[in-house]
Amino acid sequence: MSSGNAPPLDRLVKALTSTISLKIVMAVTGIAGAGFVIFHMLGNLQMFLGREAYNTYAEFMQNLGELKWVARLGLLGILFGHVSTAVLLVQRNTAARPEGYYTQKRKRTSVAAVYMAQLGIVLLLFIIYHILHFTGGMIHTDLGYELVEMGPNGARRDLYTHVINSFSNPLIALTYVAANLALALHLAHGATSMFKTIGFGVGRWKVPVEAIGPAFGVIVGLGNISMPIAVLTGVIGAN
Amino acid sequence: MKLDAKIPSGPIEKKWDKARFELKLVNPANKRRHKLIIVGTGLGGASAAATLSELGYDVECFCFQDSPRRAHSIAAQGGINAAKNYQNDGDSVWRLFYDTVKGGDYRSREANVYRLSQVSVNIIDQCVAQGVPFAREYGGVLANRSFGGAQVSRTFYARGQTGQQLLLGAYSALNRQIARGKVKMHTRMEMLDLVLVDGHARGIITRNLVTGEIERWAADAVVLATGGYGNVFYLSTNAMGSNVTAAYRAYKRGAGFANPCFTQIHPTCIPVSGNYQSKLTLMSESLRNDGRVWVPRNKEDLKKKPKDIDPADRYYYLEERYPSFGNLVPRDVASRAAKKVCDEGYGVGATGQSVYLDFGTAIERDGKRAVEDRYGNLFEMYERITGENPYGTPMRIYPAVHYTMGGLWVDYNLMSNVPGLHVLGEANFSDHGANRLGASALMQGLADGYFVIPYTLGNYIATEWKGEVSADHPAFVKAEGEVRERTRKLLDIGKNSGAEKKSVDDFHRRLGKIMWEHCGMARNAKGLETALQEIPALREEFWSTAYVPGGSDEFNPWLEKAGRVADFLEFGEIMCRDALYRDESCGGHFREEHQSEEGEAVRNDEDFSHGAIWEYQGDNVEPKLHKEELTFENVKLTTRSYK
Amino acid sequence: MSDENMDIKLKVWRQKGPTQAGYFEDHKVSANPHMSFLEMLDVLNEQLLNDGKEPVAFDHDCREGICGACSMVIDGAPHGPRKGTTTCQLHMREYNDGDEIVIEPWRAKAFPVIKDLVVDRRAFDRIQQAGGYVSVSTGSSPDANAIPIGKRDADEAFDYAACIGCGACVAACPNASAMLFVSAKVAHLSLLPQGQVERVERVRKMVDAMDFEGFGGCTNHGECEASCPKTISVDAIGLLNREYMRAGLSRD
Repeated sequence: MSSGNAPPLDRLVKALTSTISLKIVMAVTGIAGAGFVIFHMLGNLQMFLGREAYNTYAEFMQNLGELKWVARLGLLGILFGHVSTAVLLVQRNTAARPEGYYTQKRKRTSVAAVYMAQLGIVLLLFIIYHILHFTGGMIHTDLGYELVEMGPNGARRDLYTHVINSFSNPLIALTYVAANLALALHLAHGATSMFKTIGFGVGRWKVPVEAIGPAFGVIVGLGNISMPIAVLTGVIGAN
Repeated sequence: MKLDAKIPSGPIEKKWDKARFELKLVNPANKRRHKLIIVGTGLGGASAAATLSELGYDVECFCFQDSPRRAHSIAAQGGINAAKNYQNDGDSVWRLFYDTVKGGDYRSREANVYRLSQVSVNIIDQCVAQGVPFAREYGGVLANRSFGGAQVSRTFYARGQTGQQLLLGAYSALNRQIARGKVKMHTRMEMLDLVLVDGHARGIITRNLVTGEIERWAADAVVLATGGYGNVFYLSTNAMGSNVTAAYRAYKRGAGFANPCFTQIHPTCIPVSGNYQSKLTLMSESLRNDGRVWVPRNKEDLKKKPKDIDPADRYYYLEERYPSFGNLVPRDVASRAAKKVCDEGYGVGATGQSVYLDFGTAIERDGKRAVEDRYGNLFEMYERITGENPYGTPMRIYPAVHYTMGGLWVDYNLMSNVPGLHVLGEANFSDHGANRLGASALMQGLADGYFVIPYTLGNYIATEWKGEVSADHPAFVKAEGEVRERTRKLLDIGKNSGAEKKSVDDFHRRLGKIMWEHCGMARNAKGLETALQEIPALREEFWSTAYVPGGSDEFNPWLEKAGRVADFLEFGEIMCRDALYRDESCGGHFREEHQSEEGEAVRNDEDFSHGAIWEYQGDNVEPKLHKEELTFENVKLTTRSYK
Repeated sequence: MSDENMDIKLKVWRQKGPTQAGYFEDHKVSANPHMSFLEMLDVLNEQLLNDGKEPVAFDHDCREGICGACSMVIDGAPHGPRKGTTTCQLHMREYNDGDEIVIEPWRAKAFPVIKDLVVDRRAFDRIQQAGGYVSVSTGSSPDANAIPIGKRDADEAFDYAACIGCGACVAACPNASAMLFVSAKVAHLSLLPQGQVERVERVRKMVDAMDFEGFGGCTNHGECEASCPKTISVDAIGLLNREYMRAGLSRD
């Protein structure tokens, strides 16, 4: 059952399927995902700079060509890695305690940590919804997905109006707020946990690593939520 | 009974070398054909099992705990002695030998003690190589402290859990052999009898504590490393499971039991708080390095809070009576002094059965921080148990039964008078005489297991072993039948009688009271005779009214306990008999009839410079006494003085 | 502090054997505040015995917080509410008259119940057997001071070696993970020079054994550290992860 003197193939299989290895895949994809989330947020915060800036940014992103597909496939791969290891680990963790406690006291952990998997499911559903909404334009089709405007380089999507129209609908805006709260919580635990899993967070790194998750959660949460709220409260509008 | 100590001739420094040369070896290729049974996985058992299997023997190892790592060696706090002289303070093998013989009040065997001192240095090397995290100095070398009255710093330690760290070292060596398939480990398995074939120890009968299955195990030799019998007192610092059963079963099969009355009382334990008390907790003796022991000088101060008692009215009785050793006098002296002041009515606390151990001076001198660094863990533990904070108010302590120097008689080769039966560690009698020095129990357990038995056991196999025996031999069948019969009897007692049901614990508690009262810190002929009347009566009551719930073919901790208590009920009588016989005071054995005017123990070397070995003669029959004369060629017998 | 006895209500897990279904049983017991928690259970058992009922089985031995035998979840917390304390050192002064206390066994697939509150923890021994040792036979060791070890390393190694193998970390972990136990063992030896030779092999073998026994994975809740009677730091888990990755990159 141990792998120390096992044949190379056996050792490789064990090294790839061990609980720690799965956690490392989860952590690495988590770090990549968190990087994307920051990048995505910073791009979209250009909403606050006005229609011109925002639509120019959107145009740039649209015109990345093949690179765009590389990025999309990469993101899909990361998501797949993250979700599939999550499924495997949750299965193992559940199987490890067939009979639960009458009561279980939480001395240390956080709400975020306890509901990590549930938050993950919410986020997965939200990602699908979000892609259908803004990327694919397959739902909420009456809100201006097809709008175009004239930019310096010719016609381009008027994403700004699409966003304003969307978030002006309180139901949609609140959905985004709720989903981003879930994201904030997921990151609050996840962004710390992923560093611990790859062996950081020991000794002098302990305090920074324990702070990074909650800090990251708050920053991403506030940043992302600020947009639907700003639209809903009229801070940014059609101009 | 033939008692030949087999001490090699020649000067004491050469005896062990000589023995090692003269002991016959077993051909390496033949070792794997020899099966050894080792009972107990404390320091002695685990180290012996690991080492013997490293040599090639086929080892079956047993413990009643759920893991070998939980054997009671784990609870030792203070440290382990070794004559390394790393501190350059004048220590040597000879000095450790001398201190141990003197500390034992000249009732141990010189040759064994000398060997113990010799191999002590190898133990530390071995443990460090296993990864035992001993305390170290900033320069990276090992740290030492002075311990339990020693005037050199020869004690190695690992914070307050030296026992656990050493045991984990031995356990890891054992694990390595288990993984290699060389040791077969049987946990939750209790030895209930020893099997003799043609007068040789050839196996054991066990009960599987989970399933209740009774099994026979045959082997070429049997090693008992089953610890001490302090739990005969019910309240002791021993673990709840510690028991005399394995050793007592061996005694009933003919092994001599030596000096059973030699028990050690540890001076620094947390006092009893009530009737429900199930065990006593020891606090490391190192506390006496900085703590000052006192009681109020005037009885009217007993009601006062300690801090309200005028410093001039505090009776630092150890410092006053023993100016040169002060609070660091040996365990037996410190314990008796505490009993004396309490008996005189100066004891503090609700029960009047405790004395103060005060860190006020140390805190004033070195600061709270320094005291916390040294004793933080112990203070925390004290606070957890008593709810009192020792930084603010003195600790309260009282002596408690801690260790038993007596045990099965063994020769120089650690073999009992039953050929093939070897006994290690606290279970044997050989090294500590009438009193054990602090930090020497761990030393003996590991010395026996790592460095003595691996050589001496081979000699038995090479010279006396009588060929293979199977577990189907009639002797095994008979012994198994007897174990089954006894188990059935235990379960039947209270169930068949119409009398009131009494728990086994109740009997154990009552036995403990008799033992503590009459065979405890101080003994006298009258008390011992009373005990010799009371114990058989209690035993009879046990066998007619004790109630043991559950059945035999299941996990039944109450049945386990009943068997152990039944043995204690017989064994206690032998202890009292031995204490009555030994008409002198020595070490932990204090006969009130034999004390100086100042209340110090007075030995009688003329008549009692020997080990008293008891041979079983049948149930309810007085055992037969044998003597092993002790000759002291290297240490001059003096009256111990710690003034 | 009051010395008066308190009436305590108990809800205790009873289970005949590994394959039988368990259930909770309600009892009342009168407890003195100076009693230890296990002494309170002794009183309960004495009571049950007098009533001709079967007492509650629980593991215990040294009763001074070092052997690691005692193992019960008290009101949802392994070893009860007090930090750095085993059940045997928990005292009834933590409770008030009229309190109800729920007592359950360690619950994990790798720790099957033997009876009532007694579980089988041999999985821990097997993990140790997989590689938790330095392969040094008796007699072949150099002088103890031949290899100096910095005080910091020695102290840190000790912090991890302080594990008493009770299994509270597994019981506390929402995933019944044994990562704190395994990591403490690995960290102890990997911090010492004596542990270097087998460092790579050791972590591989022990992690494999841990997975094989059916423990869950670590999701960094920190519950293990909070319940550990020896307050072993979760830093150990970070060190284990590092060691494991290091082993993964090693060609040995």
